[in-house]
Amino acid sequence: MQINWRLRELTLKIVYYGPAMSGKTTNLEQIHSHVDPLKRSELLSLKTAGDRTLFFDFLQLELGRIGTLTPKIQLYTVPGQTYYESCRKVVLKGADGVVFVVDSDVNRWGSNLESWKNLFKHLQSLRIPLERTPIIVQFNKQDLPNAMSPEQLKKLLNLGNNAVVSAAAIRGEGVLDTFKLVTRNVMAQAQREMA
Amino acid sequence: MDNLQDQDRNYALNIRVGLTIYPSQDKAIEQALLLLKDRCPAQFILLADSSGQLISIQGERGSLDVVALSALVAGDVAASHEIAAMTNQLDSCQMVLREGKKSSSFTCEAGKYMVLFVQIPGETPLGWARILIRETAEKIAEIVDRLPDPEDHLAAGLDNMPLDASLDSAIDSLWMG
Repeated sequence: MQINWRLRELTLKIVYYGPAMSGKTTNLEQIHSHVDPLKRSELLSLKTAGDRTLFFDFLQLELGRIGTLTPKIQLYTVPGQTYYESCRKVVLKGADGVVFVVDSDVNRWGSNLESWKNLFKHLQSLRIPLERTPIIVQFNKQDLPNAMSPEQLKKLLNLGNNAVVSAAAIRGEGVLDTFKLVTRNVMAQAQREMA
Repeated sequence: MDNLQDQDRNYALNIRVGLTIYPSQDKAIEQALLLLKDRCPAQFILLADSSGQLISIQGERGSLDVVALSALVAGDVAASHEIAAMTNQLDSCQMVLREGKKSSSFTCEAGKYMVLFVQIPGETPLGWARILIRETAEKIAEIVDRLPDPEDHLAAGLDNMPLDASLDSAIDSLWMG
């Protein structure tokens, strides 16, 4: 979170985290394609030749004036592939909120679990306070015929009070709901911290 | 006065980022960057926080996407920081030079929370630029570390609740369907 009192700007960072190919970049692409170009930046993607995220994707949205501040929301994705561990940690630095994108494909449960544990390991190593960092879980690819149900996934990840959203990001379903939920939670946390 | 300073200190500690920039600090940062631009001389300067959020720019930006550049500079410095940590070279005020024929650029840490990007013309001596950039980075870090002026407290309106229920409609208005 960055607050510039002269410009009355509040900038918040939200990171889309999750295993490889779970749909993190797709979420940002959908947001980018549905948001008024005057209210967003261009989508920045650092990709490999194989079109996989190498470092991060980045998109900034401007919400307009709310109360006395103008919030800007910065969205990042991390590279999902396991060998980009250091990059994930770097991108998570300074995160105000996280969207954990789950691949609902039944064959990917191991990758989901590994990535979920990995997220907490990094948050702890970066000293990001878990109790003050909203983490929203998106069950993506619910449109797949072999998708695990939200109930099964909740059990698998041993989710406590985390808010969850079902999605099929490739069709745009659940993308806005996820974004709204995480933004609302992050803003509420920012408000509590500023009060 | 002491009481006010204590409140400010507590306030800064409660905000977990990071980084809160008050009007007097913003002005002092702008002056430091302007001085660097003139003395170097630099073509373009960008200051962002370490998570990639733009704070200030000086010089000709042209069609440059400064928002994206802030994210990249922060990523660059953070990656460099990790490399230094892994190779046991970690030191304060890490600096990376990108040397080109027409121009060169430096990226460096400015204290704990900020990163500085400076682009200089090819003819500017690199050693000279390096010294000035390091000095400026340290000065900016000091500016942000010091307590805000009492006037800042009033200007910020810290007792106002700045965010309200119009958040949902603001998000909805982003979406074109």
